[in-house]
Amino acid sequence: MNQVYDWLNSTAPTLLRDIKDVHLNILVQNIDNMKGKNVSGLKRFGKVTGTTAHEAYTNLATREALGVPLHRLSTCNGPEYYAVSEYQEKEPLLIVSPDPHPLREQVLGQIARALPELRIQVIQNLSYEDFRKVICIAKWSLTFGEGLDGYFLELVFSGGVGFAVFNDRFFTLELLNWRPSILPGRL
Amino acid sequence: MDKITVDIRRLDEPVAYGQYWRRAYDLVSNLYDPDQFRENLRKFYRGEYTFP
Repeated sequence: MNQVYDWLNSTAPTLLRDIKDVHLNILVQNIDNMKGKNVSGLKRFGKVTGTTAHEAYTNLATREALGVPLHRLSTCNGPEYYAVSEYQEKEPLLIVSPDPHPLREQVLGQIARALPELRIQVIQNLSYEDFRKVICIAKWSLTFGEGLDGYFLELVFSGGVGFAVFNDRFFTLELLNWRPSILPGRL
Repeated sequence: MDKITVDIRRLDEPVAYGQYWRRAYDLVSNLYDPDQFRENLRKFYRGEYTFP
């Protein structure tokens, strides 16, 4: 976002010269990425708003921290876009997000030792179409990322059981209260 | 840290797996609704922000 600010700062006099109404909307997809961002600086170019992807940080505190109107948008996704495959149709496969985590190798090593029959596949260099095929057959997923992300959600929508690193910045209270499948963040 | 391996072993049979999946499915399905997304989008363009 700071790059956009710098870009606008240098190009606005010509770029925005003939534009009557300028509305800049920030896609707040990851609240952790908003730290240190010059949100209020954008106001000099026009109207500024923010739309959020996760319920957990769509609140007054975020609105006040950003200093611009905040709107709950979420993502255009839902269970109706997925076919559920039953336990019997699934394979002993654990798909893993590629996100970094300090204990990532330790956790994966422990899983591999404890469950040698389980195949572990890190999702990388895979088209989205192929990802959709994999989540149909995978029994399990483990995300080291935001938690309430595609590795978790899309697997659950496809009939699988997802595990995630505990993260109170992305999971809703309802999910946090029911978290047997969510690993503690500080392992 | 061994909780995940214990959970996988415990859930790796049809009934426990199905019950556990259903609970998670219901919880996340309530969070993601394309109709609600479209309504949120309409409100955004009307300037009816959640936190104005």
